[in-house]
Amino acid sequence: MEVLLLAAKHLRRLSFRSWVTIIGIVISVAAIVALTSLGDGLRTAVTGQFEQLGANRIIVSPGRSFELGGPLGASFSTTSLGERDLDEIRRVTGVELATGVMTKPGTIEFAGKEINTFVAGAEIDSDTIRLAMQTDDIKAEKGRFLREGDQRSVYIGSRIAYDMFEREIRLGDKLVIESRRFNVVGIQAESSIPFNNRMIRIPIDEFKDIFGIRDSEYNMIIVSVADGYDIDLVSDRITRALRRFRRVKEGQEDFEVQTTQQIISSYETLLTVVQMVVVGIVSISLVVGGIGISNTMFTSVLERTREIGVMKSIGARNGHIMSIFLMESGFLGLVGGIIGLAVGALLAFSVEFTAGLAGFGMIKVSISAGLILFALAFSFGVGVLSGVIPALRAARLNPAETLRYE
Amino acid sequence: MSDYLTISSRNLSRRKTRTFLTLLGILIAIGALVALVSLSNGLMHSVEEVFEQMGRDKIMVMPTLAGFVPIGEQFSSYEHDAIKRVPGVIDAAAMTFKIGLAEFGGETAFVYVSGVSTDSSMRVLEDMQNLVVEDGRNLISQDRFRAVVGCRYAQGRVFSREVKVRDTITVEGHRFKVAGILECIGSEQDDTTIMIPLDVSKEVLNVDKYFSVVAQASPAFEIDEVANEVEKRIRDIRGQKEGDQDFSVQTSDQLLETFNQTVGMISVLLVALSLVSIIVAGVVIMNTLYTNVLERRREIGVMKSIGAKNYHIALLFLTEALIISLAGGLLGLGLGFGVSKIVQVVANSYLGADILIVRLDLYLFSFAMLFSIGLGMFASFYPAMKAAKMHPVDAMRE
Repeated sequence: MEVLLLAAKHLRRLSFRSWVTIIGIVISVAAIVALTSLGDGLRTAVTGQFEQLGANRIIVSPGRSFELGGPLGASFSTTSLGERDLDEIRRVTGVELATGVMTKPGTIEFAGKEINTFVAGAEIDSDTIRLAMQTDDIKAEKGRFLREGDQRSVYIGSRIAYDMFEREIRLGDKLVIESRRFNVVGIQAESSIPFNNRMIRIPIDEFKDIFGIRDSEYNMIIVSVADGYDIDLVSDRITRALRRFRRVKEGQEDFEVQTTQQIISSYETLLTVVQMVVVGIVSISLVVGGIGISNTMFTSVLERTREIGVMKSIGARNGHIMSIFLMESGFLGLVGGIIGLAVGALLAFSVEFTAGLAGFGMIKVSISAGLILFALAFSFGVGVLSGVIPALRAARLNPAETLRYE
Repeated sequence: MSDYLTISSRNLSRRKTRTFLTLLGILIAIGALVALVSLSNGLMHSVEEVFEQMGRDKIMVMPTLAGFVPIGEQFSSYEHDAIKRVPGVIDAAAMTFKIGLAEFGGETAFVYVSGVSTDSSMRVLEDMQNLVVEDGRNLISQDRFRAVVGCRYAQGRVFSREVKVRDTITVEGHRFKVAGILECIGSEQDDTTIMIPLDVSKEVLNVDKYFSVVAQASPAFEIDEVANEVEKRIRDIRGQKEGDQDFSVQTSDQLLETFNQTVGMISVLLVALSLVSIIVAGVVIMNTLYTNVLERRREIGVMKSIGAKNYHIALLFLTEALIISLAGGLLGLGLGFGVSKIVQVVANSYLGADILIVRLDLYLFSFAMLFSIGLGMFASFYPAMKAAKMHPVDAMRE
């Protein structure tokens, strides 16, 4: 404690130079804090979007199609999942509901204009609809979702309704999908997943009819896990069941089984890597700032040679001298860290605010306790580390020599 | 001038530790900047190289994509023929594309399979994708169940056994004899693709439409006009209006521009990130010089009293800063360039192709040096002024 006070007292005395040194640390810590907290916020926004899909879901898709653009990538796959795969999945213990989704690009026409978009065929039995309604992402803004017994009904994404045609589409309007007329029964609230806003959904029987599909070829099968079952276990069971049914060996599956958690974490990994590169580059500045601290400490050792001599001659040990200087340099780092944290947070929040004005309201800066602790500990650490060599030099000074020094 | 240099360098060498540390700071900051700029320049350069080899005369026709997935209609052979007949088009090649099941040596894997034109138009594709057959030969028009495979097959990176020319790979249940192995292109997708003849691919992959068509324009025509004509022809066939079309037509130059914009944006971002270090290094320089000024008050006082003008003193400190920043800049260039050379070696050996080539050109050299010197001058301005304006009597009294 005494050491800390002594260090603080010196800092006051060395004011201008110490402050310039501290500014170096402030700049780098501020940059690190701002970028980390913005990155965290962005990651939360992205994973939040996926979580809306439901955390207890398992998605089964044809082999490798996921890497080519998610469920829609299935249009590149030579394999497909059929009715019997779906039945097989439904029989797996722990599966609450399973429903197949077919998606194809199609043309739709409204008010004399034709556009291309995704058409999805959805099962409309009451169970499937209950499954669909569990996710936030499909809520109706106007009208209602498809329901059992619907015919020639279509549920449309918000961009289709408001942006794609000259006239807004209203409930009850007629939409021509692949030259058949459908009745708009509902408009989906704006989804955070862009392609959902360009999606239109029709009952699966009519979908097959329009596109001339005789057997079911699902782009993906969505499974919900019953309460009390472990999602990873159920996912393993599905994999094994399909392997048996499709007669493929382990490691050679022509299908993929992924839990929503896995999908989320793969995106999270990607974002984390980007964030690490960015923060890594900026962290170089902390090294430079640390060098600045070393420099200041060397100078201060030089200036206080006499003082060190006096302290030594009245009995200060090498260890005492060393810890005074280490504390001092650590203190420089810490003060830089505290101010840097504040500046960085301010910077991040102003970016959030500006982004909000520009319509990217989903970015919410998150400054976690971990980040605060990390920034402070790190800047203190950099300070102490930068002080090691100067402090050693101070500690090893010969008292007789130092007193003679001018 | 030489006096300034001698005095300044003597001062710097008298404070070895401090000079060294300051130098280290600039060196690291400039090093980071040079490494990042030279890497992104190298990347941009290699992209340009690829486009240069592809030729400026190519026109790519693709369905409208959402990410990587076509939402527009793919192309019929009728449309392919129509493109061939557009005035100014010398030849046009077509491709199909799917993920298919391949089997080799008792192992199976899902791989990219592409059907390609094997008639005269194949040359257009070869040019365009920069395909070089390393072993064996390319597909020819008589080929039926023959395949040319990407380099990762030969390296045992797709199947554990290495694929050789004349081996047999099963694709979607059909046996294909390997006619040739391609040189590494450097992208995972290209290097794991199996190419088979276009007509055979229609049966094997069960497709009847082409994923893309690549046309070559005659040098006698304006390529943009040819591209517009191609676009119009397909719009007419499909009965679509301008702006409502579900496909895109792009020339090589347009594609290059898109790439360069992306890489350019990334490199601006990287430079901005490394600017943080540069600013901090500036603060360190400023601090060092400021300390020097304080310590040499007496000396300054003496110099002034024997007739040194303000600007003499200022120049003395500016020269010190110049020496430090020159040395820091040069060493930083060396460090940064060394780092990016290491990245180059690692990246190229991973990709198996000489994709990334980092070069130290005059532009980068002068950019780094100017930056370093500018930084030094800027940071030393305030301390130098402070020293120059000192009152001789006050300075000597200290």
